[in-house]
Amino acid sequence: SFQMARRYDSRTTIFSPEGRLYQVEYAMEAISHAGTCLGILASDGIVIAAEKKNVHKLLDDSVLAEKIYRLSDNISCTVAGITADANILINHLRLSAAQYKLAYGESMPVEQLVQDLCNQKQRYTQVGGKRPFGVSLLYAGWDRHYGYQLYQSDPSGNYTGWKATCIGNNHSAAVALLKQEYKSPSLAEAKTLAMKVLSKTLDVKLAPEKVEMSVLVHRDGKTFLEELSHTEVSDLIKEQEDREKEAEAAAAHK
Amino acid sequence: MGDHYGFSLTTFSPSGKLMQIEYALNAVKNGQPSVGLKASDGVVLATENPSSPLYEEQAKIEKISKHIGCVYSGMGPDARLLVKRARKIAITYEDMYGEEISTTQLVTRLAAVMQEYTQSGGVRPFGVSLLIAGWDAEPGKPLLFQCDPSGAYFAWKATALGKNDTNAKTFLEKRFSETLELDDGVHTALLTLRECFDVGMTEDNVEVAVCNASGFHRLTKQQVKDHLGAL
Repeated sequence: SFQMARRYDSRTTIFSPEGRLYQVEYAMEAISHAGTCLGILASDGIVIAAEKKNVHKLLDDSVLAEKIYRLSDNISCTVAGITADANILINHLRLSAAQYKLAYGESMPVEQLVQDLCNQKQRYTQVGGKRPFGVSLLYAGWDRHYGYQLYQSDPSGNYTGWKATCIGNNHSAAVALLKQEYKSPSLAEAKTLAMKVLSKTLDVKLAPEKVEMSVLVHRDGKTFLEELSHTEVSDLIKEQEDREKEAEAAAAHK
Repeated sequence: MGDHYGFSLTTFSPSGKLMQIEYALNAVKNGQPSVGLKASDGVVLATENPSSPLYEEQAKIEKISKHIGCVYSGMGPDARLLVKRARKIAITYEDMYGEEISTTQLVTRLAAVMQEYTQSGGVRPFGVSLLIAGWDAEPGKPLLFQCDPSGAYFAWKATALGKNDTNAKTFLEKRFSETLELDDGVHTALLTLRECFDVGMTEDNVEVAVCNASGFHRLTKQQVKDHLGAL
């Protein structure tokens, strides 16, 4: 019962009588209100798209990225949840990847980096009495073992590999749509699909200022994280709006 | 830190909020107003600093390093701790790398400290938001950042904290332009601050500082008086 929950829910690392970790669940609740981010595996790259929540005329957005971050030469990530907690985890990830490179002379494999951070996140749910990190992450990377990979992790320290997924606001609607529409896309098709999903999850009207979009591609022996230009994002939005108009017109004629 | 308390005092509520941070933000919202504005050739910081014939004058705007300074809204004593920590960060960096710390580096490191106090055992978040103004020598540009009790930080062109901050920001949206130079920036910042004042604004209850290529420094009482006269 809810009253019972109160007695156990702030003790961060112990089970409630029903065997639940409330702090972890509450942290996930926080993330479900954060700006959406999604990732889609294509045959020749990975599309990462995110909704920017901090949009204000006076914000200086030339200085810092809001959602998509480069972790190492072959791995990038996007985050949803408590910004300050995310910054700490991003630092950890960058440090881990750099230490691996120093120790072994080659790029850290994607799953290893994800696992490393998830082990840390799991510790916070079992040891020490500290609250968990209120962040979920999507990791996009390339390595010579498994090629292009997309992973998701959450405050519990759990992680899974995905072909396409979404976290943050309206993520269930997004994942349902992705499940329907994902059909081994090319990068171009994946960009279109990403925009289609974003238009569904955003509570506000789609606009280039509200979207951060990047593609991760591996070519000529190097991995690149390329942010889509304002023009490209605008064009994708326009295509999406045209498609929606066509669909409405077709439905009206029936 | 936290006197051997092993558990977080800031924990998630059922709706996913960290209430201690929300409450800390309230402390900021109820604090004395402060304003920051990035001009093309420098940054302005201004704040209300009431005085009385019985007080010894005490500055609120503090210098962190040669080219970085800050002002706060919220709990003064908490701000004092953060300024001390910021100075230590700056000087340690300089000692290690032989050059002044860049504004972004200082902000991200200080914000990480603020985040620590939302998660470590036995501590509460800081009850301040900071406005950090800096000048980076390479490539020679002004920067303005806000650091929140949560540990999140934002880069602004212009913003306001404390009482009446919403009105101030609306005012800034209309008045701010990217081509403003420092002098006009001070002018606009003071006009904005006046919107938040309950009483009349004089050189005795307002504090102003600027940060540009020559460093971070507070304006003298006379300079403030002259600017106020021009309003």
